[in-house]
Parts: sequence; C-alpha cells; structure tokens
Amino acid sequence: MELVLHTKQLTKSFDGKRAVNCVDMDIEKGEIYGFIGKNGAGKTTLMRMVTGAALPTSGSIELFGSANVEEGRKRMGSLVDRPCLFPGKTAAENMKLNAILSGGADEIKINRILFQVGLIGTANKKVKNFSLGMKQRLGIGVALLNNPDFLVLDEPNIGLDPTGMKEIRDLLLSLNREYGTTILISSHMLDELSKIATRYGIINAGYLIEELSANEIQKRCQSRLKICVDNSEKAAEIIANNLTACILKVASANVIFLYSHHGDSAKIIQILSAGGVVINEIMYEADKLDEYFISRIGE
Amino acid sequence: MRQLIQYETRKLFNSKTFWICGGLLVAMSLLELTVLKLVNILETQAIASAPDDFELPATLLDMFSGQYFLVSSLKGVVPVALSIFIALFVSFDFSQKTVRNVIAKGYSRADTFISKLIVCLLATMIFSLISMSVTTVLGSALWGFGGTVTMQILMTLVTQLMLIFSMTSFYMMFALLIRNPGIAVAASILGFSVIGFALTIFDAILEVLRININISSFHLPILMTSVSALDVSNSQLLKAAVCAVIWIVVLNGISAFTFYKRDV
Repeated sequence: MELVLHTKQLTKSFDGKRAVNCVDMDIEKGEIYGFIGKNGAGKTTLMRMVTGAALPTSGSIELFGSANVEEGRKRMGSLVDRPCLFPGKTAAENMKLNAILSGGADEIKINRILFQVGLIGTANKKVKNFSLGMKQRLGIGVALLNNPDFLVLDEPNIGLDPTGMKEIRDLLLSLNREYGTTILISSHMLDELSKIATRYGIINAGYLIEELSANEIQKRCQSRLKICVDNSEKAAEIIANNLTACILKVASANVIFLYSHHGDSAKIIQILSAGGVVINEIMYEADKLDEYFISRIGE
Repeated sequence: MRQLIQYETRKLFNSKTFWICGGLLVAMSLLELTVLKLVNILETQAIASAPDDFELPATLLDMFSGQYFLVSSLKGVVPVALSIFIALFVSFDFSQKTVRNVIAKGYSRADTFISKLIVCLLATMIFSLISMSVTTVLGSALWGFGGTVTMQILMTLVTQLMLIFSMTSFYMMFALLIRNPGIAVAASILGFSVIGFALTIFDAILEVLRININISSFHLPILMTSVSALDVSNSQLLKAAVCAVIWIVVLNGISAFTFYKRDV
C-alpha cells in the first residue's frame, strides 16, 4: 500500500520542551486519518511540520514515499492553525492570488470551489467582514485550489454551524471517494470526526500513543447493559450470586452497569424480579469515541 | 520560482500601502520643491531691494537645477517611504501567516526569500525612479536642467541605487526579524538614527583613544549623503559602492539565515 505520509521519530521542541516526541506516523493512500488529542497535545505542531511551517528539531518526514518534502507538498492542500488569508481582499481575490502559487486557476474552477465550500454568494465580500466559519470555509477552498492528493486539515469545523459541518463533511467524503484524496484531519468534535474517519491516531503530551482503524475502535468502545432499579446494591448482589464471572459497577443508588453477559438480559430480568427488585429500565449502551479517547489519555 | 515572483508582484501592485507610500512620495517631493522655490523667490526679492553696494552672500540662487535634484532626490523622502512600505509589506505576510500558504505549496524557503527580495528591490527601483523623475522634471521646470548628464552623474546614480538597495535590505531584515508590522515600521524608521547616534559616540571614543578611523562614514545614510552631489570624486563613489555591496551581502545573509532557521 502506498504511504502518503510517513514520519520517523519526528520531534519538535520549544525551549527544550518537547511538543512532539519521536512520532512515527503512517498514513496510507485513500485514508481519512482522524487525529485526536487534547489542547497542547501536539496535533497542530505535527501538522505544521508536515506542511513546512515548522521545522522539525529531529526526525524525518516522507511525503508520497519521497524524502523530497517540497516536491510532495506541491500535491498537498492544507488548513492548519487558522485560515491564512488577505483580510483586505475579497474571497474571489484571495482565491485568485493563491491560485498563482499552484500554477493558476480559471474563473470556472474558482467559482466551482467557492460553490463547494458554500461561499459562491459572498465571493465579492471582503474577508475582513467574514465570520470565523466563513473564513474556515475559504481556508478550505484555498487548500483545494491545486486539486490536492493529500489534505491536511486542523480543526476545520471551528466556527461552522451544524449545516456547515455537514456540508464540509460531505465535501471531504466526496473528495475521498471520488478522487481518492487522502485526508489528515484533527478535531475536538469527535462525534463529527467519527462520521468520516477510517483510521485514528491518538496523541497525548507529544507522544502518538495509539493508531487504530475505525473498526478496531468500534470493537474497543466498551459496551454494557444499563439497568435502572429501585435498589442497586441489592440488584448487584443478586446478579453477582447468579451470574458467573460477571463484571458490574454500581453507578448510583438506582443504576448499575453490567459489562458482561450482554445476551442474558431476559435471565437478568427474571432473577432480579425473583429477588424482589423492581426494574425500571434495562438497555444496551456503548461508549462513544470521546469516552474511548478520554479513557486512553487517562483522564 | 516564476510563479512565486508573479505572486509577490501581484501582491505588490495590489497593496494599498504601495500606492499610498508612492503617492506620499510624489506629494512630499512636490512640496519640497515648491517650498524651495518660494524661499528662492523671497531671497531674490530681498537681494533686489538691497542697496547697490551690498555684497551678495552665498545664496541658494545658483545651487538648484534639474541636475541637482536628479542626484539628490534619493537622500530625502525615499528612504522614509521605503522604510514604511518594506516593513509593512514584508511583516504583513508573517502577521497574517500568509507566508505559510507559500511554504505549504512546496516552495523552498530560499526561493520564498529570494522572491520577496526581488519584489522589494522592484518596489525600491519604482520609488527611486518616481522620486528622481518628479524632482528632476519639476526642478528643471523651475530652475532649468543646468547642464548635461555626464558619465560621472550616471556613475553617481548607479552608486546611489546600490546604496538604496542596501537600505531596502536593512528594512527587510528588520521586518523578517521582528515580524510585527507596527514594531517593524518603528524599528525601520528609527533604526538608522539610533545606529548613527551610536556610531557618533563610538567615533568620539576612538578620537579620545587617538585611533584615526571614522566609523560613521560607513553608515548608509552618511554614505548616501556623501554621494548626493554633482561633483562626487571617483574614490568616494568607489567607497560607497563597495560599502553598499558589503551591506547588501551581510544584511541579506542575516535575513536569509533567520528566515531559513525560524518557523513561520
């Protein structure tokens, strides 16, 4: 499989403090790589090194299988940290100016991209009068000017309304499916991220602590039975006495979580009723991506 | 590289600051010459009303001509206009982070720096030509051209352009080091004055120590003043040209090194 991004022991220090610490990251062609981490975990710094804005303290980066990163960046589009725009110019002027850097773009292409990012109606409005969400959209538009094979997007959803988030999500999915565009995307909106990412990388305190596919994360997200009763202590005792090797947790006076025996809900209802426990509700639950993420970074 | 220069040139001509500084340069040049002409008229009237046996003092009357303004136009308003424009133009890219778009599109830092330098030198050339043209044409209209353009004058103009290029390199270095438009403008405007003051003190110390070197004479504004006349000696022109080349190499070397070594 062709690697679009390969970093080897990539490290970045600021005043002796390591913001990114010996990161080995591989992103394969066609992947949508969700990059997750707390504020200050090192996501943006790593992305800035990939785009060339920051220089690595040590380690190396390969793009499209080559150590010639400048050549590789010609096939990249990026929006890292914040949209880098000319505030005194209109959206269309910003697009035209940036298009020169990628060999130029005609009016039709610029209008098509402005339409894709939802700015065709405000193409002649000056950027200094744009909202944050509109600037984000234009930043994504600028990133798409050179028809990139690899998109690096750092929290592209910031400032976007729910409709905007859906539009950008649909755009990214269509780029990925129709053109095979590989995407490295970071976001704190993990629910939103889980709708597009095919693989995840979790970074904490500069260390890439885990890389896993969307399927793997789905398997690892803890599933459980939530049982609401009149007396959780009594219910827990009955379940423990009747089900072998059960794993349970008393969450409150009326709620217990059962992490094993998911298929035994009928039996559980039966034994609890027989023991005189009133069951108000019993339901199947699974952790969401954010809960898994929190469990992985140890908070 | 061609695309990069095209990008920077488009930015230059789209820049409001460029046109405002250019307009101010023209306005200041016109104002300066108008004031000089008024002083000249008052001086003529004063001499005319003086008694016949009054001995004429050395006056400004014979000093001005189109030729005079051709060789003296670069020492006045042009460096000030350039200091403001270059500081704003270069540091804006860092304050708005637009330089990241260039680097992220696969252009090397060396190419990015060279393209910025080329466009800054282009702006310098335009400002210099504007100032020279306006003062020479208006000066010639008010006082006459005053002779022919000799080889010596052409050599003086070339040396002046080299000095103004080194001044541009100085302003560009400040902008690249500071990266904040406001502070970069202040540093560019005050930079030469502060350095000049420090060199004067240094010269005074050297004189006390009986060391016969005049460090101030290598200071760019002093060099520019020394070659802003019609009768500059060849040795002075050579000294100024050599100093200009050294300053251009040193200042751009510092700028390129810091641009290469720092995050954007």
